[in-house]
Amino acid sequence: MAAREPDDPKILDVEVVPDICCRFMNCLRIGRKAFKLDKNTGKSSAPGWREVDPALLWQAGRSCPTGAIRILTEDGYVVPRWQETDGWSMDKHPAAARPHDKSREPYRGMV
Amino acid sequence: MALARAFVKGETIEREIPPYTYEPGDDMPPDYRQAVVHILTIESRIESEYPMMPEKTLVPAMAMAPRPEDWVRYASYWAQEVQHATYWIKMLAELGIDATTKEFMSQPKPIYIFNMRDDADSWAEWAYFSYFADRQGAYMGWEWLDSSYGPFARIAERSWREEEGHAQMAHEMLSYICATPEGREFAQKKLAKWYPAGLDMFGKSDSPRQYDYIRWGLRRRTNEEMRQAFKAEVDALLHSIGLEPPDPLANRRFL
Repeated sequence: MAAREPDDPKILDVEVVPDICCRFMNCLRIGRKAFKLDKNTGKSSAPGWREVDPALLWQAGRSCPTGAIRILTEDGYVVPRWQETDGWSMDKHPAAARPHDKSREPYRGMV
Repeated sequence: MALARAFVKGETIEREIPPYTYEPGDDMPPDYRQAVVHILTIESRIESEYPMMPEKTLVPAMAMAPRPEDWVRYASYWAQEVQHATYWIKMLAELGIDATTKEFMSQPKPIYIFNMRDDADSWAEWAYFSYFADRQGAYMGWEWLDSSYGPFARIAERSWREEEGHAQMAHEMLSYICATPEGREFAQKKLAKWYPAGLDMFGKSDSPRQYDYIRWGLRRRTNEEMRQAFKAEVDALLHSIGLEPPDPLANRRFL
């Protein structure tokens, strides 16, 4: 079974697949210390993924338009971009209405 | 070169409604509700064209893209915009407005640069569209951080960062075009058409509504304040690929 963020699985590694990375650079802006740009290839990698809040790694993965970011967890391999798309639901939307006591809770994926 | 105009900074206007005050089902002041609907209507009208009118938003770009790599990048961008469209549709639905109807989508586009995209005749023009329109989308996303309207506050960072990625894509497109002298000359010519439209996206400097929006916690900066920040960023990027920004007051519709 694929790992899901709300289960809070332990992250074992974060990869950016170079053939799929199209240099939108969202990862570099969302997880500044985690991701690094190779100036020769223009592709990013994640040498500093241990230095940032795991929530930022998941968000960087969801926001990568091409799904180039893969997260290896103790429960399996996940591509957050496609995991979210697979479960896309208007009612679980990051912007959908919430009770006031949960209004400020960070978005943790559509599961 | 014209000097930067004097402008009021948003931080000098006292905010009256704190962050995360309202959710869609709440009673809210009628003017406030109208303002939220107005913002969402603009976003939804523009971005619903991605899923609802691919013949305008995807097919022409695929035909003009110079390389297979550009197909992949542009299609990925388009797919993310489709996702964004569902944000605004959902947010309007929660306020009782159906943004998926023919009537809703028959409204004129609220910002004229989106009409210009429909007439774009080259890959350079497609690049300029995202260079300006998506970057402006990023600026709007930033405005919603800590918004008084909960759904805006929750979507702000994501919208901001993803639209920045779209603007980055446009910079890649334009950099490729400007890699040859002929391409740069062509791009410079087209810039004269798109640059004023880009600056006009922020509206009139003296619009009274902007001050209400800041007081109500629906945005943070004034129109001219955003425009000047935008211009400084865009000018530096254009210079970095050998393009010269035109006179910022030439051919403008909203000053």
